[in-house]
Amino acid sequence: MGLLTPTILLDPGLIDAVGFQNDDAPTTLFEITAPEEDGPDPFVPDSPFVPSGSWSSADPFNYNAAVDWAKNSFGFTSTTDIKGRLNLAAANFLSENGRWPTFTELVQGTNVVGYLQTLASGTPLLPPMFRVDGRVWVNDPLTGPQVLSEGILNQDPGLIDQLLESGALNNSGVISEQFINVPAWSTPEIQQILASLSPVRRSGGGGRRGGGGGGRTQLVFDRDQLVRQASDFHRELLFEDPTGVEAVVDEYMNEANSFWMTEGGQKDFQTFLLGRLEATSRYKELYRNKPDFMSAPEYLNQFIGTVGRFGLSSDTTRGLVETGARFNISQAALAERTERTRENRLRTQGTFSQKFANQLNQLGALGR
Amino acid sequence: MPDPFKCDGCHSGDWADFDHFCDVLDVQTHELAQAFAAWLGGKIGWDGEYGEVA
Repeated sequence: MGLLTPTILLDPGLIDAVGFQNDDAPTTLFEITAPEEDGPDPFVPDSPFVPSGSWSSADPFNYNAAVDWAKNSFGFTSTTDIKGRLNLAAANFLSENGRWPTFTELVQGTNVVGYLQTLASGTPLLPPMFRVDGRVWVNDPLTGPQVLSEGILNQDPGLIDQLLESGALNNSGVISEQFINVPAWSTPEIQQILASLSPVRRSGGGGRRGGGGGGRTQLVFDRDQLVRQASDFHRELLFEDPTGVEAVVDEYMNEANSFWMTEGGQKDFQTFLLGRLEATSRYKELYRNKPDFMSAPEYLNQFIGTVGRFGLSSDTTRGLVETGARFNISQAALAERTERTRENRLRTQGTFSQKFANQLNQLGALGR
Repeated sequence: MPDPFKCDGCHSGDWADFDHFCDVLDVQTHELAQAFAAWLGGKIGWDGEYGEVA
């Protein structure tokens, strides 16, 4: 406990000067869902160790289990980020129980989840005190930022020491100028800052992610690029010109945004498109005889290769390729069928006048 | 019964699409195998016999 009392600190004039507010505005800057507790891990035996050193060195088995859990649950990519917090939570357990915790005890019997949530939020890298939309926040690197209020000061006398250490208070017991001049951001700004500071991995491509909670910004898409990509994918798989692509893209953008805001994940565009195309009657017809070991493009390309080398009109080529795919006709049989087409015969076996007319037609096509 | 020889068929008269071949020639389910063999052989026509592509 420091030399100052909350009564001195909370002089109304000073409160106004630094932006104290007592309305019902949000008092958290981030939301990270705690992992669901599935109960004790059956693969991790309860094996409390005799205390010595840090938990990570004293009980590496349970420590490593906790590291894996933290990485999987929160998305941490570095063990360094989480080691200190796991050890601290275990040390807290040790001081209360006289022994190191098991993995289950650590997760369920300590506040390690809160420690890791704070770390994942990125707030430990923020300054010890800052303002957001005029509201003053005191930032504890372990437990996260809290709005500075009379209630917090009364409930947490140690905070006064922390304010002294941070320079927010001076030794005369009044709020220093530094308190007023702490960094100030708007809510969108702090959310962007937190998004860049957080050590947890993010899904990539196509969008950006805010800090969390209701203030998350929407994903940003290049709609034209998605329309082009969807059109190409449609042609590649269904061997026809697409219709209604823009509506499908709009639907994807809505679903992707909804998925991102509720689940925090990225919805893959190609997977979404494939699902839509697979549901069409044309896809089912074209690929009904496709072997499981082949992808749809691989399957179709073999027929395109067989028919395409004859250089027939696109109309005839399409008909033969589609029929080849529908019935999974052997390449030899399809090639023979293609060779027998009227178009091919005219080009290769016609009279001299027919060949000449055909060549003229080709020249005409080139000249267009 | 449509007369196949009065129809140019699909795809430049080549009946390249077997489904169209069956539609125009009114191929019945029990005739599909025979019709498919004819289609693969590059023949057109229906009504008990196939005609060669012109």
